[in-house]
Amino acid sequence: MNELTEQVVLHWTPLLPSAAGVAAVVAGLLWLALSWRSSVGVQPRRRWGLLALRVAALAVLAVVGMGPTWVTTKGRAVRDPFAVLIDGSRSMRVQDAGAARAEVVGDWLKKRSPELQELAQDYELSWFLVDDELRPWGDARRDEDDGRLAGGGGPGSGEATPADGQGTDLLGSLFALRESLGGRRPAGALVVSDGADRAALGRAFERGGAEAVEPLADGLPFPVSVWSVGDPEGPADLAIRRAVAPPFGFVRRPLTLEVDLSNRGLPHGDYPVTLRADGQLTDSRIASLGDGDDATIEFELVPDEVGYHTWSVELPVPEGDTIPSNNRIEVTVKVVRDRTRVLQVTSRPSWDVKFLRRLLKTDPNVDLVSFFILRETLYAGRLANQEQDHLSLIAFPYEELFSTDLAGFDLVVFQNFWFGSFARFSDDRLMANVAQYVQDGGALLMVGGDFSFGEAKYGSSPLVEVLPTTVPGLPAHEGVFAPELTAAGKRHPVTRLRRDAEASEGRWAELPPWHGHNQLGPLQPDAVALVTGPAGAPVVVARDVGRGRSLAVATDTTWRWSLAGRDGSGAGQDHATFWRNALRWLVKDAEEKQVQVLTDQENYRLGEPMRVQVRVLSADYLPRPDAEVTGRAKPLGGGAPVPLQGRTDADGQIAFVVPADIEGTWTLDVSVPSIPDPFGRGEARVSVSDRQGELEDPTARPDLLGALAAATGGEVLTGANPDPRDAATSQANAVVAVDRATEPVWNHYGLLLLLLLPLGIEWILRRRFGLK
Amino acid sequence: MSQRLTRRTVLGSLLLAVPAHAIGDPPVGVGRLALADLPDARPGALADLIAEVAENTSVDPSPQVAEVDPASAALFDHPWVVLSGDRAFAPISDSAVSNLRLYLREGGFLFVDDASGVDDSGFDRSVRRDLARVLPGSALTPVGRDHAVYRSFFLVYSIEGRIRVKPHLEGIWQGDITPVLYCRNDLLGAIKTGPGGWAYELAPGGRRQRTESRKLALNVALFALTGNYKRDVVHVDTLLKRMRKQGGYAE
Repeated sequence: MNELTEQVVLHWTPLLPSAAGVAAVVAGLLWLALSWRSSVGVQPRRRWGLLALRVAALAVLAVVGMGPTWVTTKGRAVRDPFAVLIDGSRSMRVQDAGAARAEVVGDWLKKRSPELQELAQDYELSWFLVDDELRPWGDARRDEDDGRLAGGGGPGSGEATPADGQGTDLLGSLFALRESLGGRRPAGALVVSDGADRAALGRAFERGGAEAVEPLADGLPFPVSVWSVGDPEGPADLAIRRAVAPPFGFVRRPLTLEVDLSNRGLPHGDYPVTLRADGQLTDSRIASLGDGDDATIEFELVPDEVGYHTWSVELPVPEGDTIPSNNRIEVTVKVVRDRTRVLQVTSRPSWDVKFLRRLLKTDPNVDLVSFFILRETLYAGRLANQEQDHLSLIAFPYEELFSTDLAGFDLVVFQNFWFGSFARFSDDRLMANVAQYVQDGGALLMVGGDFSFGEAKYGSSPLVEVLPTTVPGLPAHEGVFAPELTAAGKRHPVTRLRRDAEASEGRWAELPPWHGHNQLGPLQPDAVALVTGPAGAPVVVARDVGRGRSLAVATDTTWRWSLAGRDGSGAGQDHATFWRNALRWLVKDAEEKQVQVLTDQENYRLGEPMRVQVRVLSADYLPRPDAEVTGRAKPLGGGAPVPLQGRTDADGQIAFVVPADIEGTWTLDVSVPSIPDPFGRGEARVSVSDRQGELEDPTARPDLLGALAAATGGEVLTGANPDPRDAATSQANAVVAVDRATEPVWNHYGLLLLLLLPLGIEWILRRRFGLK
Repeated sequence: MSQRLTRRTVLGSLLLAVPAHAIGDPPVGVGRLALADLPDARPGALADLIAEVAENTSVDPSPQVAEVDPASAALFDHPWVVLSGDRAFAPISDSAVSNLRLYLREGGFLFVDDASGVDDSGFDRSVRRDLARVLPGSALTPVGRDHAVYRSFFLVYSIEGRIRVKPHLEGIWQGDITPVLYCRNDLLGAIKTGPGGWAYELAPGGRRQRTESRKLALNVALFALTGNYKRDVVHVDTLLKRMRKQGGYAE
């Protein structure tokens, strides 16, 4: 249909400029007036004849002045483009009535193949898929790199059309159409979609109906016809619409996870909603949902340690649920520590108690609650008895502290603390509470003294289950000794006084000795001795127990490091370092993070880019430029990890963009080889879900499509099998010129003869009538 | 606040079996700063105080009172030292000044007691002179009624001693910490015992003055051990309530 054609058109090109043309007209009129005047006395009939001849001459002259030219154009007749836009988003997978919307469209394309071919006779038919953007369909699907378009056998195959797109942006795609057609304006477009558009068009329609669509579609220079697929009543779907948790939380502080549920088209039922923390079932609720019901349920989350925590919420998939994928959602929350909450209890004030309290009290990262038992019995001491009413003592709230309040502390410090100092009968119940608190993720530090360990008979109490060692009922050892690091103590974060292990070991050897220690028994499972005393007796022992930690420091003279004087110069700092190390280790605080992995969010939509920033700091916490960073982003549920590799810039940073193309939890692990472990490692975790986008509300919206057609002058195709030819509302072929020739007419001899003929006749007649 | 009396605490107080000894050395003790030209104005008074502490509190103190040279390394074996006197003394040595400075900054506590009983005493002038050398820029200032020393064991309502020279204690602050407390009223003189009773009569006198003096002295000892703990405790309820409000607590 691209044969050559020839077209000849007469063009007028005035020979004189406009002003000269006006002057010529005036001169012509004067000439006529003079001719009329000079014929006075001649019979009127003859007189009018002479004037007519002059008018005829002037008319020929005017035609010549207009510059008539023949223009001959040779060219090619081109059909206007007509675009068919098929919705390729995930909502087209929804099965409204037994078949997915994409299958319905694929079937329709096959059935209407003859009509579509007929349409292609009149128009240059172009095929596109629409999701977040406009993609050519046909040629593109042969591109093996583009897996999204590989699905579907193409128009006319009868297979389901591709439906992998994350969203639908109809308006953006229509505005991009002209550019995709090489700048040519289409004669029209047919949009085949469910109308589940959550972009500009969908939002406008939701906000203001058809009236809001009109100004948006105003700039489209072609009619858009539509065919809506899908059930406007919505698919039968039991769904988790969304789950919202704060972007970050604090250790041991409850967070609220809000989960919105809906039931569309399914019978009433009591559906269990389960909550899992890192894969472990932690809570369950029943949601009673009838058809059309929405419900919100709240889960209370209590993260027990710093880091990234992922919770998943699940609904069952009842029979008839057309979108099983929106029955599960994952949420990741970054958990940080605001201030470490420490409970320090002691049965007898001592210098060790004073100096540890002084250290903790001045630490801005610690909320310290201290309870010192200043009087062992109610009636001891004459002065105190006499001044009973003027004692400043308060009752020791042990019942509350060791039951209801316990869970609120990150660390409990038993410093020379004995339950017998406030209760005659050994209270196994309260000690069992403390043991359970440790098992549940709490931390226990037991510091030595004459009211501690074996002296307090903890070896036969429930508390021994969580202590790092067994506790024999032996008296304390009173000799002075130099504490010695074990092999584990040289590496352990609690006893590492210097970053370098050798320097740390050397520093321990320089520090003032300790005076006396409680005797500990054999180590418990998973315990490790860090410091030993005389004859290798364990003095500092650490243990991971249950989800918590415990530490035994079986001496009460670490204060001597703090008050070391000139002989122990700088030991005060070591006292602070030792106890701060112990505190951080006990509460599982993040080690000094020299490598930090930051993400722009914790929860991504499927297909979104994850923006990952890695910050590397030197030991002095200055940015570390040009540091090699290696690592990977890995979907935990399976799939190829994405390598993260590069060098930091001058600010000690490097950025990566990782496509969140697999649902589930991802870990982002990086290491910096130039920084020794564990300080050279960093990690983050994020969740990727497709639940927040296209499938959040996949209800078909024919009204929205109708508004689009009305705003652009297109047609609304109706029925289950509409004729696609009805979508073409205009026929406008065009010729594209390939050659053009011009031939002037004004300088043709014939026109000169036509000019001279009336003038000659007029001249002869004037002579015969006796005129000049 | 008085201790709540419960059946449990009563039983505990009657039947308590307290372990006998402490580990480490010394358990809790006090050192007396010994200056060559300053004799002990109240010998034995610190031992009386230690006995009072042992009898009335849970503290297990050492009955020995060490004599400590402020220029010696032994100073750092005694987190609490007392300087007491009734006359002027020569400026302490530079090494004693720097040693005391380090001691106070590392957490040591100095209690000074003027036994002279007069407002303008030579001892007072000597003390102010040398404290200005030890902690330059940190002057002695009156201690307000909200200070922890007034409630570290007893609620103390008046600042007594053998004789009322000043109605308040003075102190030096370093941040929230008070490493130096100074009493002008011969506090040790008021608690010193002698054969058959109290060693000194009080002025103006009376049982109340003696009792308040004993309470204040015991409070100073407890303050040396517990620092500003008591200021902390009065906020415990508020703190716990705040923590409950923030969450993490089951009611």
